[in-house]
Amino acid sequence: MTGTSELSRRCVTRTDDAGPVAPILISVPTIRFATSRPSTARSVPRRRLRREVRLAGTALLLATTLSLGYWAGTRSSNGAMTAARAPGATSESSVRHAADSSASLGAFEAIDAITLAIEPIAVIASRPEPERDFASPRAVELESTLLPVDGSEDPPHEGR
Amino acid sequence: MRDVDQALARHHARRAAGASSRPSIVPPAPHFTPSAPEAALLDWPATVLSLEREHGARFEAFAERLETIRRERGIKALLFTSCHRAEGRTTLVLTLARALARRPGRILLVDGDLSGPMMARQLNLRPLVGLEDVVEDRKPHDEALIEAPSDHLTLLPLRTPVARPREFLASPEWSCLMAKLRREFDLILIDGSPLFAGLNAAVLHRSVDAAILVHNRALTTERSLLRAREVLEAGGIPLLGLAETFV
Repeated sequence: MTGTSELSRRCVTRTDDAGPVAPILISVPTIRFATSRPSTARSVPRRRLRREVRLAGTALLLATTLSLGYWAGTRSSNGAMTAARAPGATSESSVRHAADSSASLGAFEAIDAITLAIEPIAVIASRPEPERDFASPRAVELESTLLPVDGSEDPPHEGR
Repeated sequence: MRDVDQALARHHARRAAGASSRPSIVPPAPHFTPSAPEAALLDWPATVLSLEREHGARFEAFAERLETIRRERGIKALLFTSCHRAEGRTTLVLTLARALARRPGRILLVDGDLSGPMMARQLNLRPLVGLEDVVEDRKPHDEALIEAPSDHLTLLPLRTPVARPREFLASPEWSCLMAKLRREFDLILIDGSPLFAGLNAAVLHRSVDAAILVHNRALTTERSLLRAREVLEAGGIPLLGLAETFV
């Protein structure tokens, strides 16, 4: 109890000792308007990029859109052709049909005609593989290794 | 640091007195002609002009009181600081400088807000050489001074914030500059940095004779004012008084 009253007495004494911080030399009232410079006060200008940057951005966006459209069109036409072709059913008639349609559909379809001209899987499977001679083993020659003419090693390297 | 300034000023005064007692001595020709201070037409902020128009009498009385204190205590360099930013410090200093400039004597206004200089921006100035160039790059201070003959005022602005304010104010270049300015001007008003800006400890301009604390009641509590007074006293800067703003 005594400690609390002592503490409160100290606090009051300290507050009383502090007094005014310093004499007030001037009191400046708030003025009416908030803007600091009416001559230059204007609405915030709309921030725009330079004209060249805007043109370049538009051109880039246009080019990207066109190439994406071209790529999407190519993919969709390829998919349609793949879906129409049954496995193992690729024949001369279908190739002829695709060639006929490519002639009528224009440049984009010409690429599809080239795609269809790839040899069918059956043809590739029936092609004989080149024979390999496994019977006669050949000496392995490492690159950048120079062997003597007769193929013999030097005496110190014979492993003795 | 202030002792160094005062010692240099005393030495200069003795030399000037000695030279005046020997009229036959002709001073040597200078090796080069110092460039004249740049003259400018200041674009005063509308706030300053409005304050002057509406409450000019208060600033005249403030200037008169400061003039009396200056004569009585021999104050040459006066620091204006605040606890925080946006307390109206720069506006008050600019308005007061206009009132003091109408009196006799050469008044210099220094932008000492090293962390956020605003004076050149407020006056729509784009100085080529600033206070930081004089102190850090050792350029002649004549190149950084901006003379405003129509306002009877000279300015020393900062172009950019100073990276290391503590080293800046502790440098011998700063002390030499202040000593030179003390000899050339009758009163130097320094628009200083706020005392409690950010988390950094207060960086004080110790080359001043006294300080005035600009105080906005809406932003600063009495506890902060007491702390500011302690900081100034610890730095050996007497607090002349408070300037209340936005009352």
